[in-house]
Amino acid sequence: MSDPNTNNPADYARRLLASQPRLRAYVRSMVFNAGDVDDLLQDVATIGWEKFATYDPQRPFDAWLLGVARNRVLQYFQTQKKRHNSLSAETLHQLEGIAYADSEKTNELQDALEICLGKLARNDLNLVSLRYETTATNRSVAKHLEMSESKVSRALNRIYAQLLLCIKSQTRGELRGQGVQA
Amino acid sequence: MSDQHSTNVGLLLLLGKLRDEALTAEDAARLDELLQGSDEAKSLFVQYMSIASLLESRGVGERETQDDDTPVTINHDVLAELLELEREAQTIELPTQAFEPKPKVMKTDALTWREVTSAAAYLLNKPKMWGSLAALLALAVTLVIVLGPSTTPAPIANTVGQDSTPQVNPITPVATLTATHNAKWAERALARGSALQAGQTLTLTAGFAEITTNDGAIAILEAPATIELLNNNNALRLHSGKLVGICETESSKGFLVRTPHMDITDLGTRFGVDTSMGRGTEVHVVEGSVQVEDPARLDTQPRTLQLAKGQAIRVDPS
Repeated sequence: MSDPNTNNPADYARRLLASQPRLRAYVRSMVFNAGDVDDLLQDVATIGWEKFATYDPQRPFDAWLLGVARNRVLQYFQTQKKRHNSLSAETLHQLEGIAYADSEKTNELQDALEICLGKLARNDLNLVSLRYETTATNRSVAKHLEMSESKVSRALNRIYAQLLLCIKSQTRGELRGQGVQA
Repeated sequence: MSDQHSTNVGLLLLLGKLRDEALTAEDAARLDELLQGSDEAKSLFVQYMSIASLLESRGVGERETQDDDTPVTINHDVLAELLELEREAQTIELPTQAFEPKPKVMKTDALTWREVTSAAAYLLNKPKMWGSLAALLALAVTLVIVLGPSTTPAPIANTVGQDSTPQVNPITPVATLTATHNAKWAERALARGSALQAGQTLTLTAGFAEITTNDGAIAILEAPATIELLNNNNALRLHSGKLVGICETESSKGFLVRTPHMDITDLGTRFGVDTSMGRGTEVHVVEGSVQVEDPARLDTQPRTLQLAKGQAIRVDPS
């Protein structure tokens, strides 16, 4: 990408969008509530624009923006201490380090995921499509398909496991987090 | 199954609960314990959530599918065991109509403005989306002109623009619903590709929708919004809500957006309109130019103004 025009919102928007998969994967790995994920991404987009004038074009933009996100996520962790169903601060910080490092491979993960989605059985792909195509929830999908919510959840568990397996074979261990060996 | 297998299956089930936002305090404590004891578990955790993120932020329907399952070839793997355990019991038969492909979000860095606005809906796809997009647009605005009090909208027959494009038979489609994202409609469900007819009123209660007029103008709506298709091939009325208008073809120039407080004629540009703020109607020109005219009244002549790139105007009835 050409040198940035730090006064140009369209330039910022383009860079922001190009960084979106890595940025979102990193935040999603740390933030377990979908609404909070969107709020944080919103915050990062805003803070990033405010700081865009300080961006050094010699550095990759997504790495720079991830630094912005990292600060925001660490702030978020402070609020998580009050939540009963969150992980411990120590675990969150360990996960954050891995997520930060692994986010560099998001594009590779995305490419592998594309291939693996193509290998899903039609019904499984349809279920994933239903679940993620819209504002659907497990409950709404279950209602639509006239089945129990837990059955949808278990089917997604199976599909995720299949995707993890496939990604593992696609990337041949080039990514970290390749699944748990027996 | 070994203890290690049980542990790993347990980890995956807990990750499923986390994915579904169904983690209890007890689950969280157990998950924490499993993660603390294994770097591999932490890596799996991150990859699992990354997959969730990628699925959440993109459609998966555009890919061609295979009718047959891909056989699992990795033996002695806990994930394969999980698959085997659940495959038979959890296979779900879906009606074929449940599957509808959607356009893929561009991830190139050579985005057009249209792609930016469309993709922004994915990045910031919650109610705050417009706030961010509008904030970005507003940064480009160099001039804001506030007109004086306006009146209620004049009838179509008395207002400008209506006659500038050929009228069509009211039952003839004048536009097409070309894309949606999380869209819900008040009237009835509308599938992508639906033909929209003159006189039809649509209320978008959630999500985003892209409507393309017969002449090729594109209107991206964000809920909540109510529009009405007008009796020509390149016009609509925005009763309320937010709209991004895009005219990138010669035939689409002249696209008319009627709002309660002004009529906006696109002269080949990209612009945003917001009538949802409770303080009139605001239009921002991103590129090109538009002509803005407040509705004609019986007692006065309409006022006309041309706005160029970077300019904005708000008409406030108060």
